[in-house]
Amino acid sequence: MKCQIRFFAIVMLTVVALTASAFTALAAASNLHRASVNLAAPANSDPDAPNAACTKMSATADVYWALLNEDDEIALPEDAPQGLESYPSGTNLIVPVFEYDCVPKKAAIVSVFTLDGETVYTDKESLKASESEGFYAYPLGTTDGSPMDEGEWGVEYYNNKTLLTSGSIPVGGDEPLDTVTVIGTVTDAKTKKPIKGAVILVLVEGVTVQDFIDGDQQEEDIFTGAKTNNKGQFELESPLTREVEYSVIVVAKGYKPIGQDGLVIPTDAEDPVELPITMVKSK
Amino acid sequence: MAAQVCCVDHQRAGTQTIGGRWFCDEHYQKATHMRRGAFRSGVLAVVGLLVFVALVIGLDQVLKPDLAITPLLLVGIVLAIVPAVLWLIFFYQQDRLEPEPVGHVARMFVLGLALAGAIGIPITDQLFRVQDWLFRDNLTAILGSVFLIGGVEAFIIYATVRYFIFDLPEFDERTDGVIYATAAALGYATALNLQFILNSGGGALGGAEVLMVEVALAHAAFGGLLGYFLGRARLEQEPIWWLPLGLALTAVLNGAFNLLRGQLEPGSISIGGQASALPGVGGLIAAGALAVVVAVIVYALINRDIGRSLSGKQPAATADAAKGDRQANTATVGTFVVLLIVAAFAWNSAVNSTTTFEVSGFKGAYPSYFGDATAEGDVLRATDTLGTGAEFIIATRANDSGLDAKGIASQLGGERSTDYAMYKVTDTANTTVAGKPALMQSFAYIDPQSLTGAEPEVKQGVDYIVVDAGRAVMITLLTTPDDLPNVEPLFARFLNSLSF
Repeated sequence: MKCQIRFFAIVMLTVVALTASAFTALAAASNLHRASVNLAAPANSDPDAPNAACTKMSATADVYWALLNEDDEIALPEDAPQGLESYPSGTNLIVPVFEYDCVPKKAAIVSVFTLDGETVYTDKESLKASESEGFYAYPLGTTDGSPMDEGEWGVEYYNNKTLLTSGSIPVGGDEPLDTVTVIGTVTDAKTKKPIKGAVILVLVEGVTVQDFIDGDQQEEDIFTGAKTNNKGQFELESPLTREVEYSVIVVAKGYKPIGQDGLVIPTDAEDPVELPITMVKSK
Repeated sequence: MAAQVCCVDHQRAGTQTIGGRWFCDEHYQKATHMRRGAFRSGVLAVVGLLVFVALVIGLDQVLKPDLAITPLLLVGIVLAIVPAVLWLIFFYQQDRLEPEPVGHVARMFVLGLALAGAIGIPITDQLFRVQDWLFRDNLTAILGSVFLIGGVEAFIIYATVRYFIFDLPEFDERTDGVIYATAAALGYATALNLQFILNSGGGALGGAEVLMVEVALAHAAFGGLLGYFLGRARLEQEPIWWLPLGLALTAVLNGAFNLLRGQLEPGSISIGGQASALPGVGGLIAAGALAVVVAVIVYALINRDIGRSLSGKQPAATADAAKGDRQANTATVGTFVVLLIVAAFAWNSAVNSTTTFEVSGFKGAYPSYFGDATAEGDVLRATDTLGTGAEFIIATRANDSGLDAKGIASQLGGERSTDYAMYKVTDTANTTVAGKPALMQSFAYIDPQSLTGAEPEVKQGVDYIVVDAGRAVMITLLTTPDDLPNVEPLFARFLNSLSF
């Protein structure tokens, strides 16, 4: 009797644990689905021909990450012909692609997606046998078009329980796309007249105004800069990253120089962000 | 017997003494008279000015007048004179029972204005060019503000009163010093304000008026303080350090106010918005407070002095008043010279101090306010990053084909013609650098990619090309046409310091 109770308890606990993990997995994956994609047919594919030559599928290159164009075809942006380095915040579709040599009979690809190391989505898809090279992609998107969770996304592609290839990519977060163009006007604090020829210097992250002055004003301490035109307007040569503390120096003939540390462009600032500067006469 | 003549009119016989000086009966009355109206009018003027500023800002904000340059300048000039005129009106209104000769106060004002325009402003702005270096570092800012700006102005006010009214019999009350010096200081302030209006070519009227009233109030306070010292020096026998002390205190107050204003209104960088449409009034409030505080303190001091005069305990009058005044004046002029010498040292260390370098066999010195912008391919590149942007560059290149300096110059010309637009050599000459024969060439070009990357910039410069031992050395000054005259002397000193 005692033995039966213990057995019953073990079974129930196992069921509960399994149900819970299934629900967790479902809950995590519920928002994700396979987006439609037009994979170009392999060049010499002949579905009727026997595929005796191909017995094993293998990846010929690493996974690269792409986008889909209007026709749901895999596309790479001009500035990243080798694949994306990251997806920006707000992305609702990620497209990992790999190339293979051939497809044996009854082949199926299992795609496993992870987010920050946790498996969040898996799927299995059969492929037609083929003797020729081709590429495979499993575009993963959100069902409702909402942004995907930010973090490090990974993919593993399996065939017959053998890992073909894998890769990972950051989505959102600290990716370099989160920068803002900075424009502005330098004016006299009192008369509101524009000041022409004012120089705006933004120092490298971590260098304070005092560091810059004490360090003999090394050129390498300057991150970017600008000079105002006749209307007192400027645009910084390089964009600034949000949520980073910058030190800024503004100088103009006949005006008291401004040195300010800890200038931060908040996440919700518009792009381009306005940076109005007012200066006071030096005498 | 000279000592027994009334020290005010230098004619009548003295019957009473105050603070070691003889007075006739009439002037004894005057010297012990408290002139409350002068202070009432001063405080009224401060309040009136603040109301006036608020009015101008309000009108400016509501009407947003869109004036052309000439009417804007005319309105600006009128607004520049308003603070002084307002003070004069209040003064005469309060003073009508015991009027000071109208001409004297007005004359102090005009003389203060003229001396500021003819001597004071040229010394600070053209001779010392204080606006170019004042804020290079904190010590320089303090020394420059106190010894140069404060010192020059204090002396101009002193000189206006001392040489044009001090010895006249009309300077017969303690309060007169305050009145005359304030008038002279307002003249000085008006000169500064006219300079500001003419330089800035008009501007937002509200903001401009804030600045001008601030300047007027602050300077009236400096004048009032110095005037107290002058008033006492006129009517009592003071130690020789009395007037120099007044001069120095006024200079310190002036400098301190200048620095305080810089702290209150340092300029601003704001993110993602518009700069405030209203002008900053921190400096104005500080100036108003300063004027009232000085008026109250001076009033209390004069009250105390009169009380002491009437108490009857007076030191015996011994010294010759006129002689004492002359000595005090000499001491004050001497103090001013000392202030100027200290200012000159501050100026010299800010402008002429150098950073020495020794790199790749090159030795020399460049101005210490230049930054080190040496990049790949340069031996040295010193840049006036926080000022003109001028660059002093030393570069070398291999000269295996044995070109002469002219050949190197045409090589350079070819490269610059590719990188820039309209490259042109405007002058060449043979000279020497570091004892070696050199080719000097002046050039100009248009840099389509200046720091902004937005607007092309005309660059002008000078090369010194030396060919020695299989290499060519190029020492180059690169600047803009506007800055060339200012930078050339610095570059000449840089060249003289070079050895390689």
